[in-house]
Amino acid sequence: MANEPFEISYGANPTWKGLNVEAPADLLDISHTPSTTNFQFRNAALTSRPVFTKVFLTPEPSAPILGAGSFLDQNGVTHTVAFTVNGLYQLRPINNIPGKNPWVYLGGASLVPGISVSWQPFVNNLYYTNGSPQVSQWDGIANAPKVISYLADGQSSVGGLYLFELASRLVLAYVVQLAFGQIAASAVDSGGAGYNVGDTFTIGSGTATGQVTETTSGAVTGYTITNAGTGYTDAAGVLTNATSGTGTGLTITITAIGSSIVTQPQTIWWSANGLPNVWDPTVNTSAGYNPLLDTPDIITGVMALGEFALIFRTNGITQMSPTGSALAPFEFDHMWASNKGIGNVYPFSIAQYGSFGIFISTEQIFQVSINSFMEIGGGARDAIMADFAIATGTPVAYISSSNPFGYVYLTYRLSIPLGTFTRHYLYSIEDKNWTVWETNGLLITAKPYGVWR
Amino acid sequence: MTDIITPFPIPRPTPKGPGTPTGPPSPFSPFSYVYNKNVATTSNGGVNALTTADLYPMVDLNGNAYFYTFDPTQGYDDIYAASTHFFRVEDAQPYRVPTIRWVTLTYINLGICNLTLTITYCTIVPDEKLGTEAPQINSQTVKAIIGSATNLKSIMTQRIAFPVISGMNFQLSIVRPAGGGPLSLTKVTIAGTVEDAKY
Repeated sequence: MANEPFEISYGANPTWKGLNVEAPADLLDISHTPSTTNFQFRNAALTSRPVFTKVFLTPEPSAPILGAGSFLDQNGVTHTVAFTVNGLYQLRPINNIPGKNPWVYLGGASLVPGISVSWQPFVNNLYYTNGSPQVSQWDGIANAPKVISYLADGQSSVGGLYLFELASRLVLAYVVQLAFGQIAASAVDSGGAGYNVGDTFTIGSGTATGQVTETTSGAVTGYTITNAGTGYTDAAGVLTNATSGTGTGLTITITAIGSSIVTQPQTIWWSANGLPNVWDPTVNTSAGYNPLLDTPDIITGVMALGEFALIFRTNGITQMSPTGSALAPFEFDHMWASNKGIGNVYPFSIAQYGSFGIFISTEQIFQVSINSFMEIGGGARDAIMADFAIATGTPVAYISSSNPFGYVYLTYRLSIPLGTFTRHYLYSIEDKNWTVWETNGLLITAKPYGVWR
Repeated sequence: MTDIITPFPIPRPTPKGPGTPTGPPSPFSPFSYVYNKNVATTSNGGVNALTTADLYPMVDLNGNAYFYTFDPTQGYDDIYAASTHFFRVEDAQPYRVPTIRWVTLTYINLGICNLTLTITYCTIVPDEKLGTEAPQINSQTVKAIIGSATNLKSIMTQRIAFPVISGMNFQLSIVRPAGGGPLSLTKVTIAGTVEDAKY
């Protein structure tokens, strides 16, 4: 029996095609791989990945970091900041001295543990929130950041999970509101006359409402608060306004004030036009909100693409477009409002780079730009979805464009914590391939970000 | 009068080869001091903004938090993480048994690198008792050292001899152990012979 020589060569053609776990390993294209770890396919070479190294001590050794970023202040000075549950830190100008903490504490409102901070530079100021009922602002000049999203009463405020800029306004998506000045306890001050059980009334000029439960000769002797309202202060003898019945003269003494945090996962809330510190539409009518009540799901992320923003929901996407009107500044077009559909299911898997971004639905990974959707999961999709199913923390994503000294590797980097290590799936935007990096003994706690130092 | 540090655009040297940083920063001074008389307030801190870093907020298994980065300026030899790559499962000729003798590696020399090459393959073992054939998966591993401390970034080729392996559905995998050295392959070739039987 004769033997014939053979050769099989593997290489880029013209690029490596990357991870493919979906086709049987004998039916793959020759530049696919059924399994790869800690290699990259950059510039057509199969190269071990760069060293994963500590670049900074963190602001607080035992407090997980909730994010980082850089912005330019009005003096043209660049600031690099980091967030923990205790507030805001900034990087020192000289930040590479071994053993010396390179961070300076600035303060600010406390942040929610375990949620990546959403931040947005706007007119040389840094604005940020992360699921707390406040938007904070720091201008790079003041000693400390401050909360700027108070409503008309000066105590209630709004914040949210996602913060972005569109049409000269700051916009919150998935709103969290602190409703301050609710009536926690009250009593009849004067029962008035002409009331019947079941009559309803509002209290003072606010939104609190009540219903009569007991009367004596037309005077109210008992009632229940049906809506605790907002914006109230302790006060004696607040006059009520009947909304049903003919009674008059009922006054109530408010004896205790409370507050509550109201989560509105379907709501978009925007600041006044060009006034990022004004959020109450009763103060400036160009501020406002839309609860998107005609959609069946919750907001899971945002991409601001300049001309419009895409509001991602669990099972759909809503296009938010400026109208040019001050009173109704945005138009909301739901691309679909079905109970099942393409939306973003992992809130912090969205990453944006300029005019395009990437998000993950239940069945695919999509690259989206102003006028296109493209499926990019390829043969790596099943591996990614399987890891999502066993993730032990919140998956986060980021698009990395370049590293020091002109080392360009434009990649979407999806990091999934898995018990004792983090697995990072990298998608090369240029070469359209996936690879896998792993960082042993380390778990990611928030979205990565490229900063100046 | 306020003393403001204003960075110039950072000069970007031309990349010089795949997978490699491009050396030390330019000697060109990337910033200078500028007096800006129109600014009434002084900035609180700030950075020189000479370079960027991707910050990965990480916590170790003891709860200690750190900022990490994947840093190509530190090279491609992570001492805490091995690199593993599997190639496609091959049939040299459908249903013919090949014999593998060599694996040839062509690479960009980033320095000395220790490797483990493994070929798994399928053999068919006759079961004389039952009069049938049973497939069996086997593997053969070879350790190799490639690269050179000199002539960095040159393209080099090295042929790795394997003990003779005969089997179908063979699959090559390459492991760079943690701290084994940097590796940048451009081409991998498996060579051998395949039976020319006629059925």
